[in-house]
Amino acid sequence: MKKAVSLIFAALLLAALLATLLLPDANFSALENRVLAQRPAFSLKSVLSGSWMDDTEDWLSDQFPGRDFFVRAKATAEYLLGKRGIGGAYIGRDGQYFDAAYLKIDRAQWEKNLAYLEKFSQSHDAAFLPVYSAHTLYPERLPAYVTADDECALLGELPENLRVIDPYDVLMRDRDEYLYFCTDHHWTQQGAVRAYLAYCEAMGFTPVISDETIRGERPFYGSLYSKAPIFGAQSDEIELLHVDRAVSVVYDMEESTRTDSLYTLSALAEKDQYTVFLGGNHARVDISTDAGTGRTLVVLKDSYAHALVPLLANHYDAIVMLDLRYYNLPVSGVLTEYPDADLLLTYNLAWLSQDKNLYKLNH
Amino acid sequence: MVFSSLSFLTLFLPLTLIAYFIAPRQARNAVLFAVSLVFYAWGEPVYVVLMLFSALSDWAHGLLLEKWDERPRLRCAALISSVSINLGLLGFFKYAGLVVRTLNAALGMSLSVPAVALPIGISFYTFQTMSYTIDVYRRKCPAQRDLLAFGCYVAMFPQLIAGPIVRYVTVADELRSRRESYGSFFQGVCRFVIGLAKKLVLANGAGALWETVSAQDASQLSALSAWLGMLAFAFQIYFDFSGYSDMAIGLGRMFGFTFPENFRYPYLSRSVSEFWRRWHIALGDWFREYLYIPLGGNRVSVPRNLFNLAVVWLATGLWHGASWNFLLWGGYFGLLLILEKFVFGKALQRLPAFFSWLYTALAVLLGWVLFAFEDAGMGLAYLRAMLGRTGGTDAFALRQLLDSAGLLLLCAVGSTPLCAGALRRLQAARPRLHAVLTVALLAAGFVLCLIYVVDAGYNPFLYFRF
Repeated sequence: MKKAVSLIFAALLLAALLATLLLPDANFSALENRVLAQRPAFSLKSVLSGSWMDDTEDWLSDQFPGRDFFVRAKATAEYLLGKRGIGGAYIGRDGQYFDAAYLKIDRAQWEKNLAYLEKFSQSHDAAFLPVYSAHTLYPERLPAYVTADDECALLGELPENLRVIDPYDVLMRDRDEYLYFCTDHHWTQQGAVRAYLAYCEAMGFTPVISDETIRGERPFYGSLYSKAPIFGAQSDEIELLHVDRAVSVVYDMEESTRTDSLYTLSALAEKDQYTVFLGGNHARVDISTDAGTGRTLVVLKDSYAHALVPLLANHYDAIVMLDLRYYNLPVSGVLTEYPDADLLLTYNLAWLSQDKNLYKLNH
Repeated sequence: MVFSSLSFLTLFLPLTLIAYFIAPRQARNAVLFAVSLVFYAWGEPVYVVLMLFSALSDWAHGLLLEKWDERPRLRCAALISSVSINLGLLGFFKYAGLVVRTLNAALGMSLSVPAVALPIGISFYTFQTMSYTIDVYRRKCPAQRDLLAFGCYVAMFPQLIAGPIVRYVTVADELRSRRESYGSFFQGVCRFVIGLAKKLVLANGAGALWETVSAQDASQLSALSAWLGMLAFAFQIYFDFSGYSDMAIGLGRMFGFTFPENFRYPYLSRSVSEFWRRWHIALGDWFREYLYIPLGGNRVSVPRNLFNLAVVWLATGLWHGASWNFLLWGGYFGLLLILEKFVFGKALQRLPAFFSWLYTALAVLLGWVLFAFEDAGMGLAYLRAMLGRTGGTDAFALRQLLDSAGLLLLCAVGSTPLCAGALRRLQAARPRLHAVLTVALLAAGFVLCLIYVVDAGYNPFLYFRF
């Protein structure tokens, strides 16, 4: 028996080596949502500096056969030992994940951002629609003794000229509905609908909500699941409201991307199904519709807006959506282009206190 | 290279095992020496030359000592030369920065601090080579003429960078002739997997907790957080180091070597003296054999004995790192040992077991505070937090407690011989069940290690500084 175990041990090590060497390298891990290390090139210089050895360790680890299983098993082992804060996410009650980064308000950056918003709102008539983090609506789902800074308190500090359209009451009224994903930091279509209702009320629009929905067929495991991918996690599902409009969407001003749908349905077959909404993160998205209202809208936003803006296609002939994390051309150029447009800022509050791109507002 | 890496487990180890076991017996020292150089160069491509120089120097001094067998003064000169070279290398590469910084601070000088990185394992291999030369000088063993065998002893990768500090006399016979067998290989695999699991699961987990706590502002830390953090540090350093020793001993068994034990459940000790007989045993042995006893040991007057103890413990402290807090840490234990020896040792023995254990645990934990903070101000702030000066408990502490309760429980059980004892009893009562269970546990442990090493976001190695 000792002989057999000894030989099996040695054979296993060798098998792992051969498998790593012989199997082709994977480029990307959908589970971890990151690019994987590739086999490092050998050179005397990189060996002497030690970087070749470090790169080899990264390569062996990233290309280890069955890596996804091991990554899941590690998170699960930690979870079983009682750990709830794993990889920058918290796994709370009812299978609800929380992003640890969204639990903190960055006061220093917030003071700066307030100044940018102040300056912007003095020269523009803009509305602000706050997006709440899941923990603000569902604090009881946080693991015990996990504390969160109060993001609602930020609202009171906003510049006076900024018209706040607050969906909080509608969201709280319907909080028993499926408003936020369990495994992703975003809200669901239903969450965005509550914000849409609040927006319509503030703008005097009649909400248009289709009975027709499109459902993702596969379970959806979001960005927070990637941080703490435990076996047996409650999966999410994607559901979108059909928007009964003829539209034309152009991404990043590249004509070749022109499409006639607000939804990128192919994303439902991929890992990050949330990118079904307006194709995920883009610097600029131009939407034109047959709404025939004569109104235009410029939206400055983060990714929560992707689920909301398609619903607004019922009320605007043209919508320009800018993401200041990626958009580096002057915002003033767009505002000059659409002088009569409604202006909407919509941001997750915690993220708004941390975003280092708001200075671009005044460029 | 460290054992708890995939480079070692899936690249170095399988290739080394193949090369070693297909080589004829007389070539196996050469194989072990060659792969050990690769192992060392993997982490220190340049300093491998320094290690070779150190080995060559002591090998040559050993031959000189033998050649001058009849000439005591020359022998003495050779010994002094060898020890000077070893301590000189250690002094320059490990302590030059500390000396220069201290001079600058104390005398207002502005000498430039030498920018030398600490060569990995230098504290371990210089102590090993010194044990050789001193023992040859004392005629406890003959000089090793075979340079390959001696190089193999110094560079042997299982214990090269983090011990145990194996004295030359311990392995001299096995260097010449040893019997590898499936029995010893199997023992080695078991021991290696135990050590790997201790390192990857327990030490890294406890280390992550310590890192979370120590990243907080100590002046805001609640007492519960501070105690949790220190407990985590104590477990991290124990499982890191004893895990590494287990892996070294296990790898040694695979190649037919028998290295001495380095830890015997130190956290169960009932006095600080006992703690140091169970913690890093090889280092304690080394200092006793090559410093304390040559100074006269305890067969001297009481003042002289106190002096000897002070020297040994300050040296032990400084061995752990080039920073004054380590000197303080050594001095602290020296003082406790002196007190136990001359003042309250007897009283301690009469105490109920729980209280003498509690005293020791507290004394050791306090020692780890000195050990963990190079900056005295930060250490003091942390102590204040432990004393509850900034509040007893808070949400952060309770969350950390809940997050780590399972892990700390495993650590606590792992610090005792409960599991090993249960397995031994099972072996006596139900040998076949024991055999099956051993293999099942081994397989589970191996898979667990793979799980933790493949996704090892946090995998530091504490003893690199030594």
